[in-house]
Amino acid sequence: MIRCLLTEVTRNRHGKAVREQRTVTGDSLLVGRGSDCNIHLPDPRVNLRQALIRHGDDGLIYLEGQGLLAGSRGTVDQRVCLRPGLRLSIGPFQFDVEPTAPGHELALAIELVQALPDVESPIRTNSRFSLAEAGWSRRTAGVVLLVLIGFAFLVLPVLHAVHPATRLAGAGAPIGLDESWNPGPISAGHQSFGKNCIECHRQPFTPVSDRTCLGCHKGVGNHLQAASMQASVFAGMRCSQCHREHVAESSPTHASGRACVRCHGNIKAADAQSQLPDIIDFRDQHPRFRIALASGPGPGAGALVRVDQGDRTRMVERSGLIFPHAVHLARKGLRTPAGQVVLGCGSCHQADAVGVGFKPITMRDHCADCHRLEFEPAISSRQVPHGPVREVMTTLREFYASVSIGKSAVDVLTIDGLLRRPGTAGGEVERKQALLWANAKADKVAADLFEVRVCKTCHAVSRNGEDATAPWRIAPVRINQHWLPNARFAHSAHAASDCSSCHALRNSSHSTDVAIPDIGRCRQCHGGAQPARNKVTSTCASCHVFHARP
Amino acid sequence: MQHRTFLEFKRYRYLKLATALALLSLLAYALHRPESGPYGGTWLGYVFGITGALIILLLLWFGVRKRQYRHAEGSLLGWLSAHVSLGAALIVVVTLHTGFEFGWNVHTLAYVLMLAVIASGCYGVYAYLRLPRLMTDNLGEDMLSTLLLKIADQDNQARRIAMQMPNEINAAVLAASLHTRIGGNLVQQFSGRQAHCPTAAVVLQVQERGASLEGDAAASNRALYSVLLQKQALLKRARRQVMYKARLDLWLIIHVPLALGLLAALIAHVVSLYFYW
Repeated sequence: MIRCLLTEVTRNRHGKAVREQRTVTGDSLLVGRGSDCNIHLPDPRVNLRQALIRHGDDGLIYLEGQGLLAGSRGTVDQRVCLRPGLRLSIGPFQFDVEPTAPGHELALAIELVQALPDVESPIRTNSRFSLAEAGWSRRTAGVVLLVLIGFAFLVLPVLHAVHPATRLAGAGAPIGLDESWNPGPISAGHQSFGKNCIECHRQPFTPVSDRTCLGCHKGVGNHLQAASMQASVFAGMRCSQCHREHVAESSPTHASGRACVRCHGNIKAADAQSQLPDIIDFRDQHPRFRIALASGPGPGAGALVRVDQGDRTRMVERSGLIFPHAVHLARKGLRTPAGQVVLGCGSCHQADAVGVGFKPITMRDHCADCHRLEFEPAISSRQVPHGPVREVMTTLREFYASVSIGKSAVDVLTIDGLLRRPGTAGGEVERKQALLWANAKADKVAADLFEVRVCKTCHAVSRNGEDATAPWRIAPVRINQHWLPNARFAHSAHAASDCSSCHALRNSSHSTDVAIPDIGRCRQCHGGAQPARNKVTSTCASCHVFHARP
Repeated sequence: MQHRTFLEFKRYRYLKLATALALLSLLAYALHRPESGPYGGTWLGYVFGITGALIILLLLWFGVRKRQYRHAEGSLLGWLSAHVSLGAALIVVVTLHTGFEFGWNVHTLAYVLMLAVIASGCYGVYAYLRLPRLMTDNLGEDMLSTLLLKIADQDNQARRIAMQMPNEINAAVLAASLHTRIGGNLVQQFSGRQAHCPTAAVVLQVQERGASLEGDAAASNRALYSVLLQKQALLKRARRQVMYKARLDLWLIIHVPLALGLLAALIAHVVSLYFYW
């Protein structure tokens, strides 16, 4: 039988111990949280039956348990002898073995030293009830984002512009520090500046100046010839107003033509003295073409004048040549030394290297195969040169002189009715006679060449009394190169069309005919600035260049 | 009286204003034929840009205004109504301002940030129209704090009953009271549940144990089971409440930082245009 004086120690709110004593009796004393235990420890951390107090074989009292008996030495024992002064813990309870009171075998003081936390507090500690509690602060995130964006997209580009050391430091970076400011693709020609905005944007908060543009683009012509007028009409305008950069990789030229119409739509408002007609749109508000033609006859003949295409009487080309296209373009062909040949436009008009116009037509390359300059029917190998009259005369005289003194192997000629054998030279008198004969023969053949047979086929030949030895004058040849000198026209861009669809020459029998298509013909394919069905949209810049050629 | 949403403020005054602004912008854009093609630098582009920037600043000011309880330039409800309606109109005005030119630059960054702010705002409108009702329905008469008290109460009861139960049950009930969690990190709050919840585990454990018991033991087991089930139901509501709250707050933790980022990008956009004129 064990009589145990049990003291339950609790603490009041000042922390002072309050002792409550009672006696428990039994052969052995059961310790645990179960209600049937002699020593009841009401805490869920204690086992239902945690330990047993009983007499050992040696008469001493022992506590035997399940590993929750923490000895005073810090050890965990299965069995301890309960001697006075011993302190041990069972779960959250502290057991002190006190000196035995009279009438008892054992005195135990029990105190709950590690109270179980309030049930609400662990769930509160474990939980996060809002995103803010979980560490998501919108203010912090916002400030971080603001600072990052501000630094990367504002501070760095500005430093790049105003702080040369930063510019130098950022030079090797794969992305320019101010590249993020670039609002759009830079044209191919300017892309090398793409990583260095200050190449063009020299002054902060100041628009790109024309001087910067002209630094490279030297020799760009003005629009107006008179410098004073250029300055007054275009005052306050900058290159970049028409040449808009940061739009596309193509050349930043101005294509819409609406800026042109601002002046040319009412040209008198821009310049009261102007003789130009108002031009608004190619579709229906563009004047007829004025063709550049050589003037004449009379004083100043040959100077280029612009003639309205509607003026049929003045629509005459004065090329100085006699060239009937109809004859050359005969469908059945032409009889030539090489046989029957059918000519086309391309036989003579061969595109030039840039595809804008054509290579010059020359006597040697295009005419001479057929138009042979032979003068002596018996000798087809000799021709007069295609050149000045004097050279022709010289050639003729030399040839016949040579024949007359027998140096040329011509045995079909007769001189004064005598058949000369080659290689026989006569005496002095005979030589003079021969020379006279030769000159007379040359003059006769020349008159035939110039006036009847050869030259006159193509050239206007007149007699000129000034030079008795070469008394002919060939009218100068002026083949027109630029019919519409202020317009751009590339034949290569129109190669899909047949030549004759614009140039009606098949039936032209006079070289005075002008076969430049009129604006009506152009408008069959070309519309105005507004897109239209089955028409090529055509603005001012499609044909005209703003800047005068330097 | 039927509860009115902020969109219906003063018979849709701001919604009408925003719609008119958007339609007017579209009409102007359709009629405008700039020489250089549409972009932000034409006169109409400037009008769109200035309008857009002013609206953005006004909407940002709402963040300040809603904290000023004393000043009352218009009611807060009116401000919110204008904030939402004009924010939606920004999509039209600023998109037209871009002239549909986009690139890898600060200008497009500002545009994209603006769209992101508006998108998060749209989610916010949805959240504000839908979630408060769900939260009220979920809580009923309770508040989150009273739910916690009730959970604690159930825990106490469970612990008391479990005292007389075998150790493994007692330990499980104790663990359930010590390690059960509501909410948690971002993902846990949004999921509305706790993976391996100790309360759910002990409920299963007690349920399984009940099958093989009889008499008093079965009765006390049933009592524990009932208490734990009630606790589990309370937990579910509390976790759902936190989930709703997280959904409600989510748009703000996106909306507000993105709006501040947009402010920075907008300033950079405007400065860059005039710095490199």
